[in-house]
Amino acid sequence: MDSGALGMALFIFTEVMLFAGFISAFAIVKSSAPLGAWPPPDQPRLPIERTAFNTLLLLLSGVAMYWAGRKHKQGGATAANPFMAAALALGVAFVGLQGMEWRALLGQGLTLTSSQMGSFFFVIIGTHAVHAIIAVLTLALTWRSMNSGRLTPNGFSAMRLFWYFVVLVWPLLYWQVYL
Amino acid sequence: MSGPRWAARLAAFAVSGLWAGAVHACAVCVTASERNRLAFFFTTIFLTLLPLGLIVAGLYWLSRHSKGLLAAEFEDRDEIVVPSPLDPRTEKTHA
Repeated sequence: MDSGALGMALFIFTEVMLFAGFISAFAIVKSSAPLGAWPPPDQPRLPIERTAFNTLLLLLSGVAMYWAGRKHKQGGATAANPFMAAALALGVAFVGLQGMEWRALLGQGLTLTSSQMGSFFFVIIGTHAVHAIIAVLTLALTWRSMNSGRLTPNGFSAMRLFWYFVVLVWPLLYWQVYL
Repeated sequence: MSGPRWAARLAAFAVSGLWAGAVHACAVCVTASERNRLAFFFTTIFLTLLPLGLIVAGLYWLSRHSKGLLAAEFEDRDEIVVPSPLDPRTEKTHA
């Protein structure tokens, strides 16, 4: 394991615990609500179907990233290039569609202070969104480095690990927060 | 405080811990529902075992990975040929 991947793995360890704490707090607050009172009746419903589509996009970007890594090992930057582009496009689509969803929810009255559900939604999903935006920017920079021949194996493996984390933590958040 | 008296107080304190479940007593609970109690129970287990699981998985991965590294290290060492004046294969190097 190279030093970049090891450092990223340690960072992801702390990130896993951060999200585990969020999810645990959310589960406890959700369970303390009387039966039938969650989500709060006066709050908008979360768009389950649209977010399921977004989830699919993010998972596909993870698959594209996996193939980018494999192709890079076998055939170098040229072979990995289309898969990196696909992962980036899918990641950008995920972030963009999530942003549109947030805008709609804010318009319907779900805000950080409107209810406990709103607070948890924007904190948990917002934290993931920050990670997703950073991951997309890092992927774009990595892709540029790959095309200009300046990509280091350390940087590539660390970026891929972070991308996998962003992709794999999302279905858990979707299951807990949306469903 | 004498020994038996101290032990009796400790025993009483320990037994009082058993009542917590019966009265749904919890320092941080806001409701005394079964769902809430279970949520506390499972999240406590989850948050306790998750870091331990991650550490164990990381150590297991490192141990497997380091075995391969060490094997490669010894392979390299085995390949080193020590020149010997008595060995005809290394004669040329000494000539």
